[in-house]
Amino acid sequence: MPQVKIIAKNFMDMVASLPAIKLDMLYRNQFICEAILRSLPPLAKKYVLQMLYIDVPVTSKSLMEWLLADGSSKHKVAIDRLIQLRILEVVDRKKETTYKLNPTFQTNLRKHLVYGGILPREPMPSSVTARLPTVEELDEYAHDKWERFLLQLISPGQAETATSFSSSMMRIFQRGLIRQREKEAPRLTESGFQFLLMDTNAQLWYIIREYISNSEEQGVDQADLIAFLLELSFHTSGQAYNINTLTDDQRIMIKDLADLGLVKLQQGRKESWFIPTKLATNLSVSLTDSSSRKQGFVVVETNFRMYAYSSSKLHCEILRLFARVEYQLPNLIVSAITKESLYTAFENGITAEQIVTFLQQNAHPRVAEKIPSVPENVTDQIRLWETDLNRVEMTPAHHYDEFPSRDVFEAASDFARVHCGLLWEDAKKMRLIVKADIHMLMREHLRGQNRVWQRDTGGSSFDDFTSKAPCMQYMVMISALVLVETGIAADILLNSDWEKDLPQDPTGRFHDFKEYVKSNLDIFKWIGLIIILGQGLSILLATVLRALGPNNCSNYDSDEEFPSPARLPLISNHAQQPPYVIGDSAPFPNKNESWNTTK
Amino acid sequence: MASAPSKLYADDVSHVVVLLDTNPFFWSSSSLSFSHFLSHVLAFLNAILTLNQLNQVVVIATGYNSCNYIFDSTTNLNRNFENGRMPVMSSSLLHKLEEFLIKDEQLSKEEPEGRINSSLLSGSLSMALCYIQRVFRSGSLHPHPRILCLQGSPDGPEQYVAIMNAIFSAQRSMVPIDSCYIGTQNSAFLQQASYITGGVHHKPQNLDGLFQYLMTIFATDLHSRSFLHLPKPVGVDFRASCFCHKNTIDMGYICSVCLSIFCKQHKKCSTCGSVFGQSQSEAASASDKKRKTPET
Repeated sequence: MPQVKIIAKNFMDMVASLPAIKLDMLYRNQFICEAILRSLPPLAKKYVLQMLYIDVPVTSKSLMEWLLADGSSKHKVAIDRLIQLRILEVVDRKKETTYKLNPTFQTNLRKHLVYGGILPREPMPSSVTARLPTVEELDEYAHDKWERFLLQLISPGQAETATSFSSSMMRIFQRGLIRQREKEAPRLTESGFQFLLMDTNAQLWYIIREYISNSEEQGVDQADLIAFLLELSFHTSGQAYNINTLTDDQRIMIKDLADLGLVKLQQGRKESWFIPTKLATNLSVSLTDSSSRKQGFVVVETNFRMYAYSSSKLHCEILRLFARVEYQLPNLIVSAITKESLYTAFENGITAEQIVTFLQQNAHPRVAEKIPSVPENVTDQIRLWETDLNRVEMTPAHHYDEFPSRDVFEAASDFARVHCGLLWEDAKKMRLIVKADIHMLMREHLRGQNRVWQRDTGGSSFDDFTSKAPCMQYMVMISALVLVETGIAADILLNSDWEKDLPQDPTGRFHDFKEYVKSNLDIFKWIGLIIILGQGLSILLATVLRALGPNNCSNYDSDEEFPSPARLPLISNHAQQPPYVIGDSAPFPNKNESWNTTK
Repeated sequence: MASAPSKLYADDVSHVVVLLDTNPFFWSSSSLSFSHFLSHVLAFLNAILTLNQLNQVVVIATGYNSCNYIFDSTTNLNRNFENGRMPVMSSSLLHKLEEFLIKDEQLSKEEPEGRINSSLLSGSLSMALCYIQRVFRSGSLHPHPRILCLQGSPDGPEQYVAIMNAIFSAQRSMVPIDSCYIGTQNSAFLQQASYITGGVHHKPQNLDGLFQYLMTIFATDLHSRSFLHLPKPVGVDFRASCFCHKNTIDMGYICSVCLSIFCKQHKKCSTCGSVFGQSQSEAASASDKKRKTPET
């Protein structure tokens, strides 16, 4: 199974980086010796056990003899690790490299093997602690605490009950996981999502690491903290331990650990005690073990719907990162994996592989039995959508159409080809897409062509094609006229004495004209009717022509859902934004927002 | 088919079932005292539990007349309870062992018998296999178990069939049987068991360093065995015991129907009841051939 790695997650790296004096101090504690032994690679464990009761240095050759032929790389890893952790001391003698176990480590481990581990504190008798939580209750408690912590970590606004971690502490945890920009909601970074995908144990280590590295600033010794944590991992989960057995520093720590769900604090009548949970006792388990994995909850169907049997808010938040949550029942989150939801996930830096891994790792036990646990078509599609983004290359381009003749079109396309700017052409419909770089050249070329062509065809109105502006002017004038006309008609109809609004006529000509109209009312009625009819008919005719016109038809070569652009002038005006063009497959400049610009 | 257990732990997790020989007849004559032996073994068990948090150890005592579970690390995990000086693991083991020995002694008193002083290996092997089957059925997530026999008493030929059956069922469920023989003469049963199931058999030369032998050879988990040099069987004693007198034999007679082994020729197989008679059958087949040849 591919393990998601976000950092050198091994906690022991940190231990190894401690200075020698501190390491020696650590090795004075038997439990740390045991925890460190457990974290070693298998071969290194064998070496330590081999040499445990050998007091003289052992040559590296004799160690190698124990291995089969192909194990030399493993030998190197094991030895490096042991030296790094200062468990092995190199003793050079007569050219040969010999190794010796660290004496502190050796004596402590020997003691441990012979006497068994003895903890510094004993569990409290059940007479003092009235009722201890059962293992299930404790597990639930730990799970709940941890989940709440995670929820607060990824979406600080969501958690109802904040943990007692100060916001500065929280910010330290969030460092690297969440990207906070000004005036913007905090967003998970790539590593933040990877963090969520890790199993609880790995997540815990990550947080503990941050906690430890931060502790130095607060005046707590790192080695003490590590020692205490490792010691804690050897307590029996579910048993109560008196809090008075802890030192002052440890008491401060244990409050923080309780917030992480590592221990449960309880208060009795006189004394208080802490109960380590599973999370704490699993601390010393090496991270590669899959045993601490949670039970899955996600069922993905072939129709891209996802059912998550979980009541946890955290799960809902995680799913929301890459799926559209449709509705939520008390124990079920129904969501759909859509192209849009995945694109937002990809934009946030989450990879398809991570999503697929997440779905597979968290598959519901019922579907986990099947192979594959996530339907293949879904995983394939998720990967395809991701490659979609990588496949598309953005090139700013200009689209030309409505060439007056085939000659002009061919000349233009040749011109573009010569300048290496031709991206796509459709000879049948006479359309061209040309790179934006050579748009100016192209325009010059077309101007030249225009002149030649006008001369050839005796000055036909080529200009009509070139610009939309005159057309717009006509439209404005006509609408104004129609408006004025309607206004006057309304005034005449509604205002009974409109005649008084007219200015005085000193010549009396207007009166004469009025008399003339009144005497020939029938003829004037006809004239008025014909004018109105003529106007109405011409509007109708214009509409019909527009509908049947050549520009608005069958442009649907692309299967994209966007409407083809309305009629474009042959030479585009500058106010227009440069459209984009996709490779060589899609013939049309698309809406900008539908494609993510990859740089 | 063999129930191939899904090995879900890629790591070096081991689940060891240790069969402890507690035969008083052997320990009274052995050069190594039983208490020394126990201290080696306890340290070894501690070491296995230390190596990995998920490691598990089950100890089964093999007595003269009976056998019983005396320790299971899955149930005895409280390592911090301490009565007196000893950690709880050792004390509970020793306590159970004592109970077991007393019971075993009583049983042997009830039926005084002049048989060979072998311990009941077949019984403890079967118990170990039963335990392992339970682990297999408990769920999909479990470490791959193995059996370790710490045996000192000589083989009891009367247990031959039972032990062989146990070995074959271990082979079927892919459970390796490691064996460490601390007696004087080598044990053919244990050699065969380790050989057939792919385990390791070793007879330590110097019993004072038993712990080092145990750690070096038998603490090696199945994962690490792929890249370590472990003792190879030099020569395996494949001799079988006859079913009629339970003697170990070099040559014998085998029933052609059920493969039972006999040291002498019998008229009838005591296991499956088929009648032997070589002369008649040979004659019959010869006459068959003679009759058939002219026709073809």
